[in-house]
Amino acid sequence: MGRNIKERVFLLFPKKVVNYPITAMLIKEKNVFVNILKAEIMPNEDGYMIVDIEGEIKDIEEAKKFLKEKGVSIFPISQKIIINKKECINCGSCTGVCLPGALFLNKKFKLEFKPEKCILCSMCKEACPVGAIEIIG
Amino acid sequence: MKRSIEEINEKIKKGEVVVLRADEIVEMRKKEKIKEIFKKVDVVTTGTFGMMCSSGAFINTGHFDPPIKLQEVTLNDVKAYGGIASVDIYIGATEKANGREDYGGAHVIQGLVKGEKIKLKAKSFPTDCYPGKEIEVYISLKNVNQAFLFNPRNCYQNYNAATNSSKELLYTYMGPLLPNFGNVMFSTSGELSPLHKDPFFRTVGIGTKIFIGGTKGYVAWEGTQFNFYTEKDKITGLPIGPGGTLALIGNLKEMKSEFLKAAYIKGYGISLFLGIGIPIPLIDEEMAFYASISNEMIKTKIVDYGVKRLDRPIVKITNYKELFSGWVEINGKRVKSAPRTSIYKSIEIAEILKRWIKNKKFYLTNYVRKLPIEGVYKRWEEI
Repeated sequence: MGRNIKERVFLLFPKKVVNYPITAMLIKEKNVFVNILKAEIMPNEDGYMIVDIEGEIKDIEEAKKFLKEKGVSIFPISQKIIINKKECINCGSCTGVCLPGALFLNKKFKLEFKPEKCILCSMCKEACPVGAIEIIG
Repeated sequence: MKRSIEEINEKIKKGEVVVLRADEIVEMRKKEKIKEIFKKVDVVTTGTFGMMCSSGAFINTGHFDPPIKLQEVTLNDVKAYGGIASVDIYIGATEKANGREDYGGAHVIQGLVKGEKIKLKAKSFPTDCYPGKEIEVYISLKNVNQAFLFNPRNCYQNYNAATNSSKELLYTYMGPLLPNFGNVMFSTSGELSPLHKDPFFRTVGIGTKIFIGGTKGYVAWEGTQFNFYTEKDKITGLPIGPGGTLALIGNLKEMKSEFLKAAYIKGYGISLFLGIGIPIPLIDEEMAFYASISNEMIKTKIVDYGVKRLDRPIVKITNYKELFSGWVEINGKRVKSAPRTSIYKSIEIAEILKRWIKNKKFYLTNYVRKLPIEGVYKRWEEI
């Protein structure tokens, strides 16, 4: 068995394919795990999804090929959120808009960040009153 | 049994004073009776580090030669007020820089505290005594005569929490409010907040010495919009919603940037995070009761900013234990809640004040006049 890897990608669905069960096909036919982090799919409209795809390298390559064939555009998410600890005052404003709970205050009321939960919605950057959050990439 | 400020100061002098932070006395209250707490503890220290828009600094630059009256003044392109004597100016925290959204008075004040040079530009009408017309110089805290914060309204005794029933995302001074009751934002340090520990202003009044921005300062007056008549909780006596406020004064030259930080709030503008701590002397058992009031006992309203009127509908009355838990229940739905005030810094401030008192660096004061003076909070009325 090959090595398992995990990739976070942004998928753009043209409206002609939103009625097609693409995620199910990926899991069933292409043998990869798909974890949907954020999605906005409506009938007859262009939609998008942010997903983690996990599996063996060759399966992930196959999955990507399949997506492209179906007309889905794939954008790797290389962006990430950086918290400038020198500027951060641990007020917690960002935690109030972080719906996946990647940003939270610990028991000592200090800000903590779990990047694996982040969906890069960038709301935290907008909520931060001291400019301590940067999105890079 | 009573304990005077003089007795407490005597204990400080002898190194015998017992000081606890507000959060520590709340813990103590879980195990001990008020009577015991009063016997054992002399002073409780509080702290808050929140955005305080109603802040600003008076600066006297020193006279120029030839003399000029600073009339139309900017500091790093932020308008300052020059309508007082010749080289006195006032820079308000929320004033925006010319053509910039994210820089303003609070940044100028922060820059000064950090030791930066600030560009002062001024224009004037020449007179026989002040012939100068225009000037462009740099100021810093080193080359000005006086620089002190004089804030008309700080340190709110409680504040409404905010949510949003509307379908649009709102950018408010309480932070981004997500649509359809998507979140709740609140702003006080709860059980650590100075005026939550003295509901009836029995010890905090004009002349009270405080921690402000990393140095010692004073309560100068009743704060603007001081409201003594907000509906009070029957057990704690605390207002359910915004109550008393304080006008504060402190030497900017002694302040530290860890306790004074400029804020830019998207969709609103500029504000100033300011660290304030007030010692609460336990002069009797009643004060021991107030000082040990916990987050669970402090109630506030969650109001709906989705209704853009002065009277915003009250969605729910909650307490700070629920708000600090990170989740609030609204209409049967679990809604995220988050503070705008740094509790981490609030605890740090209460701890510093505690150490100052223990190490004989800070003696307590009797107030020179009791609050409130007017205590009137009304909306604008036509004459």
